[in-house]
Amino acid sequence: MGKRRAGTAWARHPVRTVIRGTFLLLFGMAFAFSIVVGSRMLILSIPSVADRPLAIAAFLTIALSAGIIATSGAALQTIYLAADLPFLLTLPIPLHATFASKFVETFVGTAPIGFIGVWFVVGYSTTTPTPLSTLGVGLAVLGAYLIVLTALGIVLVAGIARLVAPKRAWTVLGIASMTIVASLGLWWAAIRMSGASRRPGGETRVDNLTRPIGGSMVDDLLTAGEQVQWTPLAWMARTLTAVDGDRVALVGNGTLVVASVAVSCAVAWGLFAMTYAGGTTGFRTADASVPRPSRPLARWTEVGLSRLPRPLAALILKEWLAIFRDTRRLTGAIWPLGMVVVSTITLARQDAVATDPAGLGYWRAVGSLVLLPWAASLGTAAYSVGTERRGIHLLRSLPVDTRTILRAKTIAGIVPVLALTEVAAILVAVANDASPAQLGLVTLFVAWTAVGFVTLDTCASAVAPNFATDQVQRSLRIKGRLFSLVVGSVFGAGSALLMGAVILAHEGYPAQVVDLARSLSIGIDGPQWPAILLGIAGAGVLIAGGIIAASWRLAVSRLDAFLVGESG
Amino acid sequence: MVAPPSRKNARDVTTPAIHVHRLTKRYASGGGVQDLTFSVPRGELFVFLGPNGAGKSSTIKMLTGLLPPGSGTAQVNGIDVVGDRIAAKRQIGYMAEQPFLYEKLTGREFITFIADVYRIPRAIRLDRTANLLRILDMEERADHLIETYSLGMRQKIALAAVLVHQPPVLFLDEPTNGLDPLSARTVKDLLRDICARGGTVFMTTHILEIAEQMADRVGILDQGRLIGLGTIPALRRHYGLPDASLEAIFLHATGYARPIDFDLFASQGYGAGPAVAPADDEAIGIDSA
Repeated sequence: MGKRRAGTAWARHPVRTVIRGTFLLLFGMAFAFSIVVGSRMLILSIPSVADRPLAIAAFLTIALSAGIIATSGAALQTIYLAADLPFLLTLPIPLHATFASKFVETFVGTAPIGFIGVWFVVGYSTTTPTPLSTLGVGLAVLGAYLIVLTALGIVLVAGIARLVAPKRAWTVLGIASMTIVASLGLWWAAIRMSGASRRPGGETRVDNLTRPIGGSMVDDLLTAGEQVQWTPLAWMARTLTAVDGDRVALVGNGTLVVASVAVSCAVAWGLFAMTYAGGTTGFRTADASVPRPSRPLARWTEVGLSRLPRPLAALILKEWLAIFRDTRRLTGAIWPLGMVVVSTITLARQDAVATDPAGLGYWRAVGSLVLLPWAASLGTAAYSVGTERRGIHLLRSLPVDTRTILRAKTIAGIVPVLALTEVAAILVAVANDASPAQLGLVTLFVAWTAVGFVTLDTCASAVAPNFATDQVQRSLRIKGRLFSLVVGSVFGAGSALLMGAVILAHEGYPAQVVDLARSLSIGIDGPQWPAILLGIAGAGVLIAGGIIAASWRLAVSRLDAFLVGESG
Repeated sequence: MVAPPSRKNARDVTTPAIHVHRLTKRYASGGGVQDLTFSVPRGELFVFLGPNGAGKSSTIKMLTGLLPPGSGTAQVNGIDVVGDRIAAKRQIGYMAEQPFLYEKLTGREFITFIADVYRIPRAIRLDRTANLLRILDMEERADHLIETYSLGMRQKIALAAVLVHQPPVLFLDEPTNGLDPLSARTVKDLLRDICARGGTVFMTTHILEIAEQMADRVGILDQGRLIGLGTIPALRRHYGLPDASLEAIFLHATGYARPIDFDLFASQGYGAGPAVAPADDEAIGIDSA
């Protein structure tokens, strides 16, 4: 199917295909290169080679927590909810063959982590005297890591299927996922706080060169690594770092890694074998056993939408009802939701506020709040078109135009993301002693980015939807993810200019900015600052608005091709 | 059940409900339809027949704007389905062989969704929904999620959603698929009633008895070409098969009345001999109290 698609695209639009392919290749290379450079910087910022396994182990732990959420969602969808399950259950296929195929299917869900991991390993290997050997061992360790990740995802879901009554399984899975994410956030917050109280004297394990650009974070990473050095993740890290010299450590830790892979797979298999048939029926029954959906909520939203044009309101209401009743869709939102929770916890009280009397400390502390809508929309809006699946044919048969459909999906995505991230923003702002003006500004900024990022991610979902999958995470093709990343980055840059100008206009111009202008021989007098800020803000609006307009246009034309043409 | 023709269309009631001229669609993988030309007048129940892969669904998809034609034109109530896609869709109701439904909506919510897309006023929508659910015997299950429905229930909800905006032209792909005998009877009567009130029904079915009972006219499609078109008596005359059933006409027209050697299949496994059939007097009738 993919080959035929590519072949058709090549035959129809050879020039466009070459340009698009070149762009994707260049973007992919740039992304990979940035990971390589980042991992090199991280590793090289640790002066002691002995400390490197700690940083890697901590890094693997943080990624594991994120990965389990992704793989448990994928495991749930492939093992208990996939459309082929009722058919597979009727066939004389050995259970271990079903397990193997479902394991591989779930494993594919770790591809994004694997992509980052490969380039991280490449970056790391360039810092060692034996890059090729390190790369080989590193890729093997990465493979082991991803297998463990997949197995743990299956264990989590199968364990719930085994221990919990089907009607409570969804709730328990949601709570378990949120607990993992929240625990990770609290753990990291505790390390950051203890690190901050330990550091005033300047005693860190990070070299002086790196300290100003995030050295404290690396220091905290090492502290985190110390706390997890008894886990299999530390064995993996030590296997990787032992390639250079210590053969005994390499073999010993490598054996432990293989054993941990075997044990995790065995446990996953055992739980799968116990729960496959029952879990499949149970999750499905639980999923379908909503005899009377929440009618007051449906009625309330209907009233709320009554001022919009009828078809638009109907599409929005349909979208909300479909999202909030579909656990499959909600699993896609667990990780982004977790990001919001973690960010709220970690940003809730920042030392920077107190240490910067100029007022900019507050913005340094809470500034990353404006990116929360992006995290939230990546798990919701980015899947809005692809998850229509066969419903896209219904939309094609109705008298609604493409813009109305896209508008409905955008509005349906904006409202929950806005509500969630605004609550988080207000909590964080209040916890950081924001003035009323600062509070107002931060809520405005979050609203701006919520509208922007959700619109762009909805556009991405229309640009490259995958209607032929059961898995929510796969309902957006890789091209759509790259699209989301690129346009999101451009929008982020434009928004940063706009917000920077507004913040400077509100807080005043700090001496550093004036000094910087002087050092660059830009003769700026005080009265010229408002005009400059206005110019910067205008440029920001143009960039952010321009990328939204361009993305919207592209999304409409792509969705049109699905709705009117044969591609749908 | 059917809305009166709009003022624009009322000026020319002789305009056919469906008009197809040299409609062609070819697929790279083979198949499609070639050079279809026919009209369906208003108030007619037209049944499209053809073997699997003959191009029936492709034709319906082109007529409902779901598939762009390769060449030729198609009009519904005088509106070009390609040139004025949205206006044409307002004239039609389309039910696919496997209905497109939103699993996470209840039956009632789904009908409401469709009615709202067609801008049916709330009071009328409530009234029509209640009536349709009653006619199709879906009142009790209307507030359950569609994902819990059986095939027949899905079919009935899809039909109710198609009818809630009372389209002048209905395109129905196998509308009795999965229905129990009582529901199938209801649907057949309902469709005939719609035609009696001026609506037009264009449907496909593989159950030739249904076509024979219901159709005003029949079109027979084979390998993408329209090989027969007319009333059943006219087809009998055309093929020289007086008193023949529609099945006999269909098999004759499509050349499918060939002998099949079942030994090719049965000799590979079913070798245990004939099953013991129950004797006639073993049938038991159970009277309910």
